[in-house]
Amino acid sequence: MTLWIAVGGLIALTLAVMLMALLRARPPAVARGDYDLAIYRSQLDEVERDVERGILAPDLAEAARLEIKRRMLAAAGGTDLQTAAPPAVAPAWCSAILVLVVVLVPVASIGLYLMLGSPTMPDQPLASRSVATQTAGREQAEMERLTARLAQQMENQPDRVDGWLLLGRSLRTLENYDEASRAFERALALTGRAPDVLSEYGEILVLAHGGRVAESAKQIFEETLRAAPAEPRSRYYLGLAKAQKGDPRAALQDWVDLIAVSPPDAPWLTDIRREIRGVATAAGIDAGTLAPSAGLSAPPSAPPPGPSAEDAKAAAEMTAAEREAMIRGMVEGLAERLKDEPDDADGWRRLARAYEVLGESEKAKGALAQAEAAEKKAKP
Amino acid sequence: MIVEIGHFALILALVVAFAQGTVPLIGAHRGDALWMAAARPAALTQAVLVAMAFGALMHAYVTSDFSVLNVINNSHSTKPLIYKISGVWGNHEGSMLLWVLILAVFGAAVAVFGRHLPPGLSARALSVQALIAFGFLLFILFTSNPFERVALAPADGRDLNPLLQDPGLAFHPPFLYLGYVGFSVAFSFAIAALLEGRVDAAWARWVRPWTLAAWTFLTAGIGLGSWWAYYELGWGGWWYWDPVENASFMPWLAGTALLHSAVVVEKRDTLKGWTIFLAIVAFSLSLLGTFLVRSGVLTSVHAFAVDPARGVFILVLLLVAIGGSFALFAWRGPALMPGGLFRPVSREGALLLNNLLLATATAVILLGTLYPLFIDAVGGAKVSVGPPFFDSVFVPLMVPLVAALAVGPLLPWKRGDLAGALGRLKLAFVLAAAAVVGIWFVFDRGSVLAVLGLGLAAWLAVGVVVEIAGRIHLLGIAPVASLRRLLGLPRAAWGMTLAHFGLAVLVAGVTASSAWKVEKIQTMRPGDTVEVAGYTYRFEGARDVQGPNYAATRGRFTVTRDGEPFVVLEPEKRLYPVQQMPTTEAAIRSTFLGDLYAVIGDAEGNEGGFVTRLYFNPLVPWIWAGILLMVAGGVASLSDRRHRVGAPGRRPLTTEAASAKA
Repeated sequence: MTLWIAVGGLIALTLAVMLMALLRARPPAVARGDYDLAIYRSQLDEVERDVERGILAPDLAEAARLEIKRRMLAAAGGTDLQTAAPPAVAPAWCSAILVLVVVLVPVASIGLYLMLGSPTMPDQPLASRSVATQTAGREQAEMERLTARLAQQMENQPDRVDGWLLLGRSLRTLENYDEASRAFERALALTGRAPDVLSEYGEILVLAHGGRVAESAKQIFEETLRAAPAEPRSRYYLGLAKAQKGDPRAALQDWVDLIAVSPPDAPWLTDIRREIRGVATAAGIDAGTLAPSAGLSAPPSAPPPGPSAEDAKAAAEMTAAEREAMIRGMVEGLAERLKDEPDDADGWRRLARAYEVLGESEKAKGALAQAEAAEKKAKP
Repeated sequence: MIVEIGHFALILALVVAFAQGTVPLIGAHRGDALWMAAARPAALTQAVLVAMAFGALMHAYVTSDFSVLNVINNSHSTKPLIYKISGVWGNHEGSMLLWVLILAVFGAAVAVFGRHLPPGLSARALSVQALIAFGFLLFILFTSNPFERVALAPADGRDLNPLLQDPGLAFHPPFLYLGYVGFSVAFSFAIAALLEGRVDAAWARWVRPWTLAAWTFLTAGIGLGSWWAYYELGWGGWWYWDPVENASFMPWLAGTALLHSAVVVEKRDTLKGWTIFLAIVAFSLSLLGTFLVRSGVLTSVHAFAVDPARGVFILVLLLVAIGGSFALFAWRGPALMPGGLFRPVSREGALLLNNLLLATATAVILLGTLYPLFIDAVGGAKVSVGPPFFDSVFVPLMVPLVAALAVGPLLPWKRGDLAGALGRLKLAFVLAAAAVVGIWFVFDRGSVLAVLGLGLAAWLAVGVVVEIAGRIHLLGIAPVASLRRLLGLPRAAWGMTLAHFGLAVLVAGVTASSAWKVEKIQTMRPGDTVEVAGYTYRFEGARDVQGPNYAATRGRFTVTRDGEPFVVLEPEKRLYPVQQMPTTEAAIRSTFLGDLYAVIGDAEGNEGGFVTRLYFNPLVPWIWAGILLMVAGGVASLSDRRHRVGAPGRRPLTTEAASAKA
């Protein structure tokens, strides 16, 4: 409501200022030539002042005076259209412009505002943000705290692949791509550059460059494809690299091929199709004319295993609560596996640490006890 | 609600600009005083409305209102207040809003100060000004709206580019824009004169101070920009012929030419068509500069196409403004009456030479800047046109300009005496030759061109002094009388003297800093020493320090000269964690003869070693001093009351006219 009062006030003020001036307007009292004469007169005065100060020689001053006076004569004598009697203002015109202003200003401005503005949305300065949004901030802070703790723990167990992966993914979610890429480098070294880790690492490099597929990332994806030729994420990003290099046709071909070799229920298909439409439209290519290259192998029956592109992509889009759920899911997966292999002492220790990270100290103690039991069993 | 009021005010400004751009124009065409009278109140209202919108956006930044998309993308709650404020124009949308704000304020200033202008001229000029504003407001509201909101405000913003978190850059764009947009007034008056088919005496008198104001701001803006590049980018230089720099330099060159040709129009009533042409060129280059920088077209033609709506809008706007005004010039320009005659050797002739050289320089820089874009756009190879090209075309054009600059002010109007003028410059010639010989034998025998460059600077500096000494009859009359004359000089004369002297100082600084720069790049461990231009730098090590929103590595160098302690330099390498972006903070100690300049790079090895870059940049402080002198000259000249236009009145002409006839 207050907004509309302010809007009304602004319109009223604008109209008032403009209409007042229009109502008070008078035809000019002086002819056009007089304006020129006023300038020439002041130029003459300047010449006099300069002579008085002694910065203009008398002969030069005389020449200047003569020239200015000649111009004055021309200005006074010349026929000037606007010197002729100022045209009378017809009352019809007068009212026409008043009506135009009074109607146009409010209608056009309010109409445009309703089209572009968000009249129902209040200001949300940080100092007075609602509890809900502050909670979101706290969740973010909690996530940061957990990640920092995980990072510290990894210092002591630098040979845990899953730990580095979890840390890398958490950092990536926190948009700290620099450190995320470092965590992934550790994981890469431990796994002997496994293709699925490689491609996730490449994706982080892309994110770190603000979505641009830099040369370094491109090499990573190419390396992935040498080891796992069907890896979808690498194929997608290599296509994107071509699009960014200004070759949308090659990019579209790569993506169409990727769709062709993907299982029909692969989760990434929707996203790729949307991307194809966008790039095709921007480049003026008819997406309907694109066909997969000849000689492609048939789609594999099952999507590639492991936390795939889509998992990671999903992780990036999760809320803090969902992320915690994902971490919990991983922990529960580990707990399930250990039920079947209770002799894995290292596994139990890892589970204990994970519970500690999640703040569940009771379960952590239980897992630790299991680990000790398993170790005793191993050393008869 | 403040955000929404700002948004509405901007829309209302668009509507008002439309009214202001049409009603007075039609009124002026029909000779209707009432319709023409709409221009001034509309211009004032428009300025107030845009100011409200700008204030609302600034409020959103200061209070960290993350329901505004623009604030999310360019601010962060932990950022220091000053950079929250400068963040308003540190991005595309906000900078466009600042552009329009300055445009509207200039329009309002024309409305306020232009009361004594012929009504037809001021109505048309204000209308043209409003049409420019209308185009920009459409562009802002429909393709780059800073008031776009998001339904769910995020917890915090994404920060401002840390390179922009610097006082030099915080205030560089506003000055640059004041300069760019300042040329809009000359442009609007040029279009108005073309529409009227006549150039009033008031026209030249008016265009000059506005051009002068724009030129002064632009000079300060470019100066601030290169000062920032010098201490923030950490590569030891201050100008790279980068397209972004060229974008601001081209309007400056055209504006400098305009400034000088406007003098001829005012004093001699000639060169009118050329001056109008220059006014159109200067503003067109300003528009081009704004968009070259803001559209992203410079980094890549493809980046430009990322947002096609924006790109197409820009192209159409440029086409209408630039193409339209040149078409109008081609149509109406020839009708402008030529004025007084002059000989080639005269003040007018010298100013024309200045104009030709400046216009040629502008054209070659335009060519060098746009050529790579053009080749890229038509699908050719990536080419880059860099400093070698610009140096080799720009310097040969500037040498005759500077050489002639010492002579020009000594020539009288209409017809001059070149031999006489050169005779008065004997002293300048002798001193410049002495400077060349002295520098050649005492300092440097290697670089002939650089030594000659310093000689040229000396020639100009002494020439300026000779000119002012001649004006006050120094040595010819009693010193007290000379002093009285000196104080009695018009401020415009002071302005010219200061600006020309500033150019001499600038030329000296530019020449020396590019010819005799000393650069040492190496890895240093704590305790290592390196000698640079007679100064011994001892690296004491580096430590980590924490800033308000960054973490930094701060190196420490103890500099000694001949064993005596001279200064301690502490350069930093900062990392802004939110954007994961490093910046360098060079440590600089200025002396009269040059700058000691130290930069710390990445750590190397495990023993506390760092890559360090140490420079000695000769006469760089002279560059800043020269620019300051030029700005001071502009300000001095602006304060001259001769530029004001008095109220017209009816006074009998008989006596004046009669004496002219006689």
